[in-house]
Amino acid sequence: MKPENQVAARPRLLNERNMHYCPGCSHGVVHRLVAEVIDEMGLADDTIGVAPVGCAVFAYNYIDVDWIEAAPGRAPAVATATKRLNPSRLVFTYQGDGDLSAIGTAETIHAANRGENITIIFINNGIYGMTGGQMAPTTLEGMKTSTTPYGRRPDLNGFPMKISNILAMLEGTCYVTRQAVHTPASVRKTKAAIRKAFENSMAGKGTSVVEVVSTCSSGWKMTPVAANKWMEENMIPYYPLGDLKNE
Amino acid sequence: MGKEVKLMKGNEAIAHAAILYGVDGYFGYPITPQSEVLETLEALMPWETTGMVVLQAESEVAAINMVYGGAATGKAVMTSSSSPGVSLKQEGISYIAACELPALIVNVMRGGPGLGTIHPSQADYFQAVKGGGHGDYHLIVLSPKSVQEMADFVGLGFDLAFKYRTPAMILADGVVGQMMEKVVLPEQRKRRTDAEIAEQCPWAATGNKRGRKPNVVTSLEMDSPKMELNNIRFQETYRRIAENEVRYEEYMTEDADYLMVAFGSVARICQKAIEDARAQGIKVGLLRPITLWPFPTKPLEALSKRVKGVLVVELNAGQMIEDVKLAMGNQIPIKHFGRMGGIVPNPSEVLEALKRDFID
Amino acid sequence: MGKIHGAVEIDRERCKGCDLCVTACPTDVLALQKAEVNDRGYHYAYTANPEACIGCASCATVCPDACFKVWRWKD
Repeated sequence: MKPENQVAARPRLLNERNMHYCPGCSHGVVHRLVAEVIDEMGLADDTIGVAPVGCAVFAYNYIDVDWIEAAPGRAPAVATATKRLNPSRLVFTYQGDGDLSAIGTAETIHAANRGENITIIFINNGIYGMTGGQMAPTTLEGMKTSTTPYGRRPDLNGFPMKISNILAMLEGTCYVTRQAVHTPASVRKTKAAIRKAFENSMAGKGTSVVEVVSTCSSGWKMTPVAANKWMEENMIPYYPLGDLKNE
Repeated sequence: MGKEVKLMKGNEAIAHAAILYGVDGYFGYPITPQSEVLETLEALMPWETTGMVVLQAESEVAAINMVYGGAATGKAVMTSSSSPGVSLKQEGISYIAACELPALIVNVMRGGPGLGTIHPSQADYFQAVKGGGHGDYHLIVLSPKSVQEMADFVGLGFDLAFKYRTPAMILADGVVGQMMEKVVLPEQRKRRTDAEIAEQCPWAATGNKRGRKPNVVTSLEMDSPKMELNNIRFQETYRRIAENEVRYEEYMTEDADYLMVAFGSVARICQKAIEDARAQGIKVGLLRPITLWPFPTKPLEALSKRVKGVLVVELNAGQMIEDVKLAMGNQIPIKHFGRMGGIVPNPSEVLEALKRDFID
Repeated sequence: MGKIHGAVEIDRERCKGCDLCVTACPTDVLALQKAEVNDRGYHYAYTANPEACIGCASCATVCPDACFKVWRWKD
């Protein structure tokens, strides 16, 4: 097998550590895409990532760029200062739905409203993964979690939040897109979206948001293959894929 | 040629001193009685001169996390607030301490608890010197008594914060923040270049990774033995600070029979009370802690052998008195006089309290 | 016209046996080990039918653990 014929390999910026994520977890795919895009853009030595609290808290263990580990939900505030004080760097946050759309709602909305030149990568799997499968703002109606054991009831728990739609309404965002990583085609689209978002950040066009509708097979109590199917049938109809804003 | 003397509020002095020190970023949120810090910085527009970033955040929580994000990249960054806002900042302060980052936090205290009052107080002493947020950590806590010290402690706070890689706090009462006094401001210093930051802060997540391994700023360590080692390292830093950085001021203690202990603006009220006492033949002196943490334990211990009684005067219900008692033991009476809720005592009240406790 | 060939190499110790590559493969090259496990206890993926590979890299694209190397060439 000749080197010139190689079409896929482990990206250079994804280091040799085995990721702690459960089998089939979408985080691993998105981590790989982030690592690939940073390297392909020649920004391996010019990037600061801001990690969340949640399953991706250890993102900094896998992608070999500089990282700052934020308090729960505060990543966009952290990234605001990091970027303003280091304007030549690529600064991105990597956040889950609990981090971004519950405890960090204010920081997320205001960073986006100021049009901070950062990229927000938002993993939406409708559940709190790390703490053990509790309800998130994004949990679907009727979806069982450890804190909605009989299913989410809007009269008790409110409605699943489409925070990317809110972010798309703000003047400060230049690009808000919702993607997925459950098929080869969707993974390629997500990679293109991350590339566009990072290019926007470097060009100073405002805040870019890449939501990735994702699975949590452990939290959903399904096999990874069944979780992908469940996501297609339940999550994507509520969180339809595609660009919400592209300016 | 004498230096130029200016007249301004303590809060304004903080803003001017920050620009002149070469601070890289300030992140604030309006709250009385400290809003002049942010207002002055916005009016002075330092981004046009030194390149300093000034940003009004959406909350105190966001502001302190911006400080965290800036400090993590090795920049000299600060925030200011007043008591309720500083409560909100405690999360971020704990993270900054845990990540061993230099930063400066200013608390211009108002009366609490709760929303309390916008008037002056010293009721955040415990919060400032005992930790405040979660976990075992300390801040270097500087207590200014004048507008001049408000200006001077910006530079001192940053110098200590960078020397020990730990956050410092200026704990001012609302009196010092709001009053106008003469002040001589420091010379303009240049902000550090990225090359200087890379050299002085090899740990910083600057994003400029050329020729080095990735830098990760995190307070998370799931391996308990390693987390204990982290804590041991923090405590060693605090031990070195306690050994080397105690600052205090004594006033008329040489022949004193009685001692007052007070910090911030209250120390000046005590000075006047001491002059009045001496006019009545009562020999009183003052010890003013300048660093509330580390606390001037040794000089107080020495004074406990020489004086007959101690009056601790504070704008609270009795907080610093606990540290005074730890330092001075129980061989002499140690009493407290405090006003709360935004009331500032006058010198005669303080003298009355001293006489009531020890003379009458 | 040359025929398209492909080959994959799987880092079996990194594989968590999630089955996503098996599902994504359009030519049924891959399968999970039924009995055998890797050092971490996972029924890892292997090339059960390597001749069918067309080097499309769908497996590598969906793999959450970046376990795949893929080659593609024409005769």
